[in-house]
Amino acid sequence: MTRIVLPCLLALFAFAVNARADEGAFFDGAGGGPEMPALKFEAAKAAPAPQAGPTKQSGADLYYFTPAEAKEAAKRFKFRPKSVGWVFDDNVPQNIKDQMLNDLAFMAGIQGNGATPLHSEIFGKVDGAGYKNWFESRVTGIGMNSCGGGKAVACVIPFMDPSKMWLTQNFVKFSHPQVSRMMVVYHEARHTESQNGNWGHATCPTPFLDKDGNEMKSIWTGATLAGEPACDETPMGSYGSSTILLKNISKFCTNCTDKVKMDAGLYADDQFGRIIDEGAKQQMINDLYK
Amino acid sequence: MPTLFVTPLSTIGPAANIPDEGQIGIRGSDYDRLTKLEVILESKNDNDPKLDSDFNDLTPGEKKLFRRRYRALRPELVNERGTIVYLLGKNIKDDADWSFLREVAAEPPCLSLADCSQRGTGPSGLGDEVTLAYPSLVALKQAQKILEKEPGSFPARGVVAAGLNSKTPAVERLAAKIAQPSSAK
Repeated sequence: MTRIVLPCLLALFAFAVNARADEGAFFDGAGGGPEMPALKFEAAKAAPAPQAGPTKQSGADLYYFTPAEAKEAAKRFKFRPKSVGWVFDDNVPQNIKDQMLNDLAFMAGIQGNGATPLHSEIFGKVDGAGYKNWFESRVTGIGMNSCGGGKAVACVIPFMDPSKMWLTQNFVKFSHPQVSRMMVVYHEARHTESQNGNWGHATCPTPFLDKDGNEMKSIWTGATLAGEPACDETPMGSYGSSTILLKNISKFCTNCTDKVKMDAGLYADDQFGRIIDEGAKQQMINDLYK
Repeated sequence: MPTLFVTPLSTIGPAANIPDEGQIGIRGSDYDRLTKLEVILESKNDNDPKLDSDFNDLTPGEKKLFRRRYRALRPELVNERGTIVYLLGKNIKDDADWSFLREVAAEPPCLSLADCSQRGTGPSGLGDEVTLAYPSLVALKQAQKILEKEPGSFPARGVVAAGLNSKTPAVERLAAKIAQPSSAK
């Protein structure tokens, strides 16, 4: 009986592990490997019905997911060892790999002489080693995906894998300042935090006006962003954290060119416009602009 | 004559209307720093320290070459064009320099990164409004730097005025912010 039960139980646990064979984390029964939950001698329950798919996109703005998708992803992928680095999928083209590695090396090389309180809370000091560790402790893999089509540079799709980042051909196809590519990458990396509901976006208000009273619209489609999940109500989400990251780079980086610091400031000010909660806005103004 | 462009000729669009800069002579050595810039642009490394150290005190001939290069680049190459504006904005000495910044601040909107003449389809990317307007925004930021030291600078105010009349919302917003009596950084 034991000879029949044990292989079945081993097979059940094999499904429970998020296999990352390249890191030897897959439990193959040979001994060692990650700590496993205690054996329970009971009949396997039927697998939950799979989710129909990732969140349907409206096409008005960048790729987004719903809280329901984030919750489902956390249930499906819950047994996941803390990330200790990432790998490229085999189908990532060489030019995209090279650009991504160069850009991440730029981030990893940053030196700074200060940090605002919100930056310290999210990222620690303005420091390349810290930025590198922050990214590598969240992202387990980088692959290719259309990210809903359009002009997106990168995305995270919790339904497929909440800790994986997807790049599009736009990463190299279009001309972007280097800081804006890293803004997108760090914005998306924040979305890998399953323990925080992947920091899903808030629905932009209706009407959604800039401080001059003009309607905020998608630069591409001209469609209004009102009612779209393209805003944040907290400084800690993806828009907030990338704003805080860039503004701190512009203020405190000591080995960045003036161009990089100028660019970081330009994009930070732009992303700040997506923070819609008055309390969150004031907290960020106090942190970054005073 | 050294090779003017390191990047493939396919990146160079049709020649734009080039204002008469016939008075400004170009020497052979003026091509050296343009070639150096081309290499940096090709690397896509905006944090190359040479951007801060190796492009100061540009000669009138070098600036003419940089402006010529700017106008020859496809408008979709926003980071490359913006970098040229950034370097020229650090080297403002005469009317030709200010005229160029005003020209850039007043550029028509670029409608998409794939083709400035056509609106894109599908969802936008993060920060695209800034990216599409990047060269004009850089022109305004360089004018802002001058105004921070010389608030009464008439030519710098002219660049901001050109931005205020821009049809690009992001440019008009930044110009309006700079034009406020105590504009925040």
